[in-house]
Amino acid sequence: MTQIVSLSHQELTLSEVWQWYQNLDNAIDYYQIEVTNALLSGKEVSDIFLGMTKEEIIDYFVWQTEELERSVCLNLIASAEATIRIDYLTRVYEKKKDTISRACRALYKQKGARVSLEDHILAIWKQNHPECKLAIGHFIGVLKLRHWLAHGRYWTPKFGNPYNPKAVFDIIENLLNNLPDDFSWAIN
Amino acid sequence: MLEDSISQIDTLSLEDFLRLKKAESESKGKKINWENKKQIWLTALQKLYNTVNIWLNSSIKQGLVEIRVENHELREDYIGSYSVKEMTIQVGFERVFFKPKGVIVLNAAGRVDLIGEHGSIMLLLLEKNQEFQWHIAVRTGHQKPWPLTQESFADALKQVMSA
Repeated sequence: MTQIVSLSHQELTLSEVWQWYQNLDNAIDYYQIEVTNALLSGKEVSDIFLGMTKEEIIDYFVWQTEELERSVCLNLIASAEATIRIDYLTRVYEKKKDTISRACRALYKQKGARVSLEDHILAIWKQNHPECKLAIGHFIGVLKLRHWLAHGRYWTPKFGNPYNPKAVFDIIENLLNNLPDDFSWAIN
Repeated sequence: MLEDSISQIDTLSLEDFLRLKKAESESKGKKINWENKKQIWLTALQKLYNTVNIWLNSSIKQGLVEIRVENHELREDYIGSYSVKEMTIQVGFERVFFKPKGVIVLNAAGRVDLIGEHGSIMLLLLEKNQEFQWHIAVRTGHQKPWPLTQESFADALKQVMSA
């Protein structure tokens, strides 16, 4: 018998990830201002900035921001994945009677909890709610970014869109808003 | 707080915004004696080149090394454009450049990069006990700069010239 997944309740909501992003983005801005001001004030800053010119400081903080944005994208997608997977497991464990829940239970009988988000769970949603196909399609596009980031970005990616945190947030929010009312998720 | 200042900026016309930025940026460097800083840096740079010439004297005499010095223009905020010497060490067809970066750098009074075909090393002018000394520096975050001596220079030169 397949073991029940013990839910950690540590998953982050989209808005929590976004708040974290805004805090760190502001912190990077403040830090950049402090370091740049040290060029004139002569105030000692961390040795990682040793000898840097203004242009190098700018490059450094552009890189920091880009890295933050990539982490945020990964966290946003992970948050959405957790929401969709928890919904899947809830439908299975609570033995709900609607069509999606029945399809989820049939899938669970076959595959258990180790199902593919893209090939299995989202396929059920697409099949039963064709009106969500476009939103799901955009989300599946974002999953390419997730795979690239999660696997260490060692290959040259070919994304259809230039993703950034705002674009990823919008795609996920659009998907979750488009799924039917009984889809359980929180964006508070 | 940052969002507040951004929304204040949003209400300004472009010209007012540019006027504000110009005033802000010019006022920042007003109290600093840039001419003095520039002279300290240029004097130290000349001293560095003289010292390296002395260290390489024997190799120069044997025809192993040629030294060239050319004037280049450097432009820095608050100081403007000024002429600065760039020294080149030529060994056969391989060259190593001393590329002056300027006075306005973090945690130092000046910087020149030693650039070879196989890497570059940063030389920083640091003030210690009211004296200015050249140091070799790497940005590892845990290794402090160490003084430029004949021995450390030889290591640095070999490093930027070796694959």
